[in-house]
Amino acid sequence: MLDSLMEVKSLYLHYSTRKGIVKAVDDISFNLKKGETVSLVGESGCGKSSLARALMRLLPKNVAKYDGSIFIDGMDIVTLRDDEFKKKIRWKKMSIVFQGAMDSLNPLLKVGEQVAEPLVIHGGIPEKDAIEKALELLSLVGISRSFIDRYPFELSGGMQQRVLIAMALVTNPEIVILDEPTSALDVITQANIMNMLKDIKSELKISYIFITHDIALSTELSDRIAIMYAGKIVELTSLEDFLSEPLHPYAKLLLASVPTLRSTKKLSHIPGEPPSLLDPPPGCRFHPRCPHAMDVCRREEPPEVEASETHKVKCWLYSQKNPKGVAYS
Amino acid sequence: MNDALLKVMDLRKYFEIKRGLFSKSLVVKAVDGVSFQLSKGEAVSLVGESGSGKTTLGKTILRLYEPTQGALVFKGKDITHLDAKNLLWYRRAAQLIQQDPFGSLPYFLTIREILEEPLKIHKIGDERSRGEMVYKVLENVRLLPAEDFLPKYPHMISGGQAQRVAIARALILQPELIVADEPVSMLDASVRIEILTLLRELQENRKISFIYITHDLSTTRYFSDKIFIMYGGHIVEKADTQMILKEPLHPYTKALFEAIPDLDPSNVKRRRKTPPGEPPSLLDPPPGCRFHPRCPHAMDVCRREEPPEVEASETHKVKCWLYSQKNPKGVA
Repeated sequence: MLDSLMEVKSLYLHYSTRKGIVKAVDDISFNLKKGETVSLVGESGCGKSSLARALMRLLPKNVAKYDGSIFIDGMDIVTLRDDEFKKKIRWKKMSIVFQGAMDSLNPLLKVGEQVAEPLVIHGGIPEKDAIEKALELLSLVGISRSFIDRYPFELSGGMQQRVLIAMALVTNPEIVILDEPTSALDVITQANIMNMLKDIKSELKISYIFITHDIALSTELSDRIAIMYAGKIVELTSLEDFLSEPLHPYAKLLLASVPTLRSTKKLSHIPGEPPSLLDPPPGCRFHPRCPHAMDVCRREEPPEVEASETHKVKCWLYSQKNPKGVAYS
Repeated sequence: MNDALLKVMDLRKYFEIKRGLFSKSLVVKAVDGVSFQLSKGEAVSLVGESGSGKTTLGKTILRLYEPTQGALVFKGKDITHLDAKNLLWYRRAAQLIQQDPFGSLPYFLTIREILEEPLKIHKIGDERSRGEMVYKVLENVRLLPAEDFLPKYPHMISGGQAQRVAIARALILQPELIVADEPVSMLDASVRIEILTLLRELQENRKISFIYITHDLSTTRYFSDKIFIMYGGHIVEKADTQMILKEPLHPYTKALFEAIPDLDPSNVKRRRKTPPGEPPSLLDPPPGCRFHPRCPHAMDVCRREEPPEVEASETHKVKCWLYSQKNPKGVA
C-alpha cells in the first residue's frame, strides 16, 4: 500500500530459554498508515510486548531468532546495522512509552532534563535548546513549567506517565508505540491520559501502535484493531467492523467476556487457558479452546483469509478450503 | 436490622508514620468513619481508586488490623478489640482472598498441604476426613480431577488455577464472610469472568456474605447486590447495584462512570469529561467534603463541613451536601 508509513512482514522474535524456544512473535505482518492508530490487543503472554521490542529492536540477550522485514520509507530497517538503527530509527522515527512510569524514568534526573535527554543523546542538540523543546512538549502533555525542576518521585503516577509520553514525543517521531501506557493508573487518570493522547494525535498527526489487554480501552484510540493470540495476529480490521462483526472465534469469545457498565449483556468466558509459547499446539493455536475446531485446525496452521479488503482473519472457518464450506456469520 | 451478620460502626483506622525523634509523627487516615451493615448472604462491591482506603477497610473488617476507633460487631459479638486468642472463631468465620494468588499461596507446600493447613490449625477432623474435605473443596472450585492437583506445587499451575486454590482455601473452613481484595485483577480477561462467576455461584449457593473490593466498576454489575463507592477514606455512596448503575448521585461516582469506556466505536471521537486534580492524600485530606477541590458543584458549605449521609431512597444513600435538606441552594 502506498500510504503505509510502516509495513511489517513475517516478523519473528524467538527467545531461547532453559526450557526451550519461546515463540513470542511468530510470523506477524501488518501495516500502519500515517496518522493512524492500530491497537494490538491480547492477553498476557500473547507476545504483544515482545512485538513492541522487536519493532524497536530492544532485544534481550537470549534472542534465538529475529527475522522478517519492517519497511519504513521503503527501507527495510531489520537489515540496518545496530549503530545505523540507533542513529536513524530509534527515537527519530519511532519511539516507545513503556508501562510502569516509575520504573522507566531515571530517578536522578529532573523532569526537564529527563525529557531533554533523548534530544541531546540522539539528536546532538545543545542542552539549552533541548530544554526549551522539552518545555514545549511538557506543556503539550499538560505539565506546567513549575515542575521541570522536580524529580520523578515528587510526581504522581499520572504525571510520571505524562513525562514519559513527552519524552517519547520530543524527538518528533512519526510512530509512537504505547505499551499499556495506563495500566498502573486509576480510571479517572487513565481517562485523562487517553484524552491527552487523542489531542496529541490530532495535533501532531502521528501514528500510534497501542498495545493493551483491555479491549474496551482500545476503543478510545483505535482506527484499526489487531487481535493477538499466542504469538500471532488472528484478526485485523477496523474498530467498527470488529465491534459489529468479529470473525475469529477467539475474538468473538473475548468480546463476549468484556464486562460493560452501561449494558446488561450476559457475560461468557473462554474455557481453558492460553497456550504456552514454549510448546504451542499444532495447527491453529486456538483449536484446543475453540468451539468450532475441525480436523484441519488440529493439523494445519490456518491461512490468512481476506473477509473483505480491510478485514483479515486467520481461521480455517473462513477459508475456501474449509471442508465444511465457508462460514460467514 | 436484626439480620445483620456484620455491623461496621463509624470505623476508623489511622496509621502513624514516625519521622525521627524530634519531628512530629504523621497520621494517615486510611479509613475515616465508615458505617454499614452486611446481611447474611449479601454480596457487596467496595469500589474505589488506589489510595481510597478500600484495602485497609477490608483488612480492618477481617481484624488483620485493629481499629483505631469505632466498632465491629459480627453476629452480635463485639470483635473490635478482641485479642488473638479470643478471635480464633472469627478467623475461621471470616476469610480473605487476595489479589496475587502466587504471593498468597506458600510456594513450598503442595496444594494438599495448603488446603489441609487451615483444618489442622482449627483442629477440624482427623487425617481421613481432612483428606475428604480437601478433595471435596477442589471439586467445588472445579479443579478437576482433584487427585491431579493434590501433589502439585503452586508454581506448577496457572494463575487462574492458583486463584481457585486460594478460593478453596478460603472455603474449606465454611466461612460466613469472605473479603475478596481484587481477586481477578491479575488474571487474564478470558479467565477473569470464569473466576468471578464461580465466586458468585459459591456465594449464592452457600449464603456466604461477600465483600468484593475492586477498582473495576464494570465487573460489579455481575457480582454484587450492592455497591459502595469509596473516596478519601469515606464511603461516599451506597446503593443497590441496579440503582446506582442507573442513577449515580455523588459527583465522584458520576465522574468515575464517565471515565470508564464501554465497547463503543464512537469512543474514538469523544473527549471524556474528567474532574481536575488527583485524589487527596490521606495524610492531609481537604476539610469539608474530600471531593470538593475536584467537584464541579462545590459550594461554600462543602469546603467547610463534612457532608451528612443523605437517604435519597431507602436503599440509596449518598454523602453529599447537594442532596441534603440543609443545602442552601435547595435539594438537587
